[in-house]
Amino acid sequence: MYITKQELALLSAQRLDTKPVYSMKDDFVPSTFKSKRTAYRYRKYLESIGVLKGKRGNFKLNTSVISQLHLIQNLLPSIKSLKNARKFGRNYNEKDIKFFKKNIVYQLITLDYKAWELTKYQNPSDLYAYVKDIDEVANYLKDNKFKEGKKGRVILLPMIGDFSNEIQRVYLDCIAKGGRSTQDAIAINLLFWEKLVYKGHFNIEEVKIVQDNLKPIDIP
Amino acid sequence: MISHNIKKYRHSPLLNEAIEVTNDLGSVTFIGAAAVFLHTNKDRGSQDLDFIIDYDATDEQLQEKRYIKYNDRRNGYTTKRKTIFVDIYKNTNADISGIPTKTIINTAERFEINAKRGRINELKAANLEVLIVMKYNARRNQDIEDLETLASYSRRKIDWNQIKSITNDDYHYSRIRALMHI
Repeated sequence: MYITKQELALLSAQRLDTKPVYSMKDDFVPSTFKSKRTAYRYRKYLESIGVLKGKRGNFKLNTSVISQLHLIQNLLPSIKSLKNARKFGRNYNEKDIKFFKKNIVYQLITLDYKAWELTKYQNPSDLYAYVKDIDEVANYLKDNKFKEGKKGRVILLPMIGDFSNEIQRVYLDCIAKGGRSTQDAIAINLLFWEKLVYKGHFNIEEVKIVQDNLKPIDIP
Repeated sequence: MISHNIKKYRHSPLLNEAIEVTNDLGSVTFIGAAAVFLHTNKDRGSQDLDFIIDYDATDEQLQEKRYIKYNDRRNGYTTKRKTIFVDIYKNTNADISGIPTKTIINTAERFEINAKRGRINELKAANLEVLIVMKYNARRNQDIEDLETLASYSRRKIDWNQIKSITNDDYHYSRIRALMHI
């Protein structure tokens, strides 16, 4: 069976133990079983698809994605969208979100706010929205005194991939984002499993915690 | 103990519950999502509130205040408001996420917040450095995300010497530093 270099890079990342931060020299190079140069090529690929982030000899991995290699093809559009996300803020509070919802035509709200609407599990914080023309919306926000930066609570995402099954897309976005959104993905999995075609594998302890904390709500 | 001036926090059910819990039980130290929120004003927590009761409290005393043990969750209780689950740690616990409970209580910071109708409430939460080391020790997906949030909102306030003395270990100290600078 032929394995591509991209798959080898992902498998090398999957072999790493769970750590908050990895060292290129001590962790990643040995896990590739290849030369240092090849390890750096793998790192470059993982960086390009947005699952690895780092400076010099240290890096962080989106372990949520790495642990779902069977879904990688389905996750790539979400990962790419998140990698090209643009953050905007004016008051840096709920007002920005209200302004956005009132004035912008968006295609789909995803992550925090959509997950909250579906599951009522975690408080939403940032508004992630897919828009058709990201530059046009960005310019409109800037004309309305929004600033682009790292801390904004309104986040524009380019439309990449399939949006025919909204719940599936939100679910994949949650896995692709990782962190706390993984718990949103688990909550969606528990409540809307029959609407999901592609499903992730999650840690049983984490599933148990989400199950315990989910409140009984009316499913539409 | 460091005290923060009155700060305007975002409306948050977690914060409201933290105020109610402090009113019910008196001296408690928040850890977890509520502590991250108090340090960053960014609320992305699950619907549970973790805190340590600073004094000796028995299950009977908690029951009198209608904090009822929930199913088989180790530290899980429901309150009379039934809006949020609370995870209660007693001051008799030896440590939480590798930090001695006494250290968490003794180094806690005070936060004065503007609550309903201009009333000032005071909450106590684990100090920034202790919180960072606790999150690093737990290392779940959400803890890493919380560390990223703390890094982007409170990086300048971090006392790295204190983190070094809490970890008492050069390797973990350097890993935390690397993580929070990526």
